[in-house]
Amino acid sequence: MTVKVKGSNNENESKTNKLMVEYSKSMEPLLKDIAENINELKCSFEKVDLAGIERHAHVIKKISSKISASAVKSAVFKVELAIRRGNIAEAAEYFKLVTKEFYIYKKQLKNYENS
Amino acid sequence: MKGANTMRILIAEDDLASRKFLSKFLSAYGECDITIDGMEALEAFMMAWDEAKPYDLICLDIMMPELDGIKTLKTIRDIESQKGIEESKRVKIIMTTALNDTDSVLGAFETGCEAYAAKPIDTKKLVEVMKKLCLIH
Repeated sequence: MTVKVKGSNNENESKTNKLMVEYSKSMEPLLKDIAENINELKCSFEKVDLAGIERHAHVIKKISSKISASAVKSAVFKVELAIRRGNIAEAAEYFKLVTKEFYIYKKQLKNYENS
Repeated sequence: MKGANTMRILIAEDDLASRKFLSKFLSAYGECDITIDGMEALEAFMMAWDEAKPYDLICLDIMMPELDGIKTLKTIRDIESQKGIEESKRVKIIMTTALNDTDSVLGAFETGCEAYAAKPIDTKKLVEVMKKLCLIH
């Protein structure tokens, strides 16, 4: 005989997992926005378009702040600061970090979805 | 006091012309980071601490969007207090303002800024202030 206790650990865990999956799904449009802006940012770097780099970096920073992707936010803020100093080489280095941190963030979300 | 050109400087200024001017002038004294509002200034301030590379000087505009200069100043001082930073080691803060508003300036001094500079910035006076604050020789 199985006894089901309201609010048991298993039930709570399952609710939390369900919420996490819903949460990560709800973020898909924002993740898509970040991915698109990362591509735009890459194009701006290729064209050495400093204003474009700053603009796209700023958009990514705002979205990553909304979804609490703090490592992405911090990396992209460094891109902004470097480009405002006119240091494109340093900004390009931080751009690599942005793509890396974004990949890690998406992977973590996928892990939630698959758990 | 740091050697020439080794200071870490943060400029928080929403007006493009003013921040370009300040950044160009202060670049002679160190590496300048530029932020466009109070929230960004706080983010840069905390990030610099996290990386153990705190700023030596912050130039904060009083009138800024998102978070004004006075609130930003107060938050910076609060964070420094929480971190237990000695008063002598706190970042030096110069408020910049276009206002002839003595209340704002007095408020800034009460909140803990070291000096203020009225716009348009008189660079000679700014250098004098930096000398008085022992930031440069």
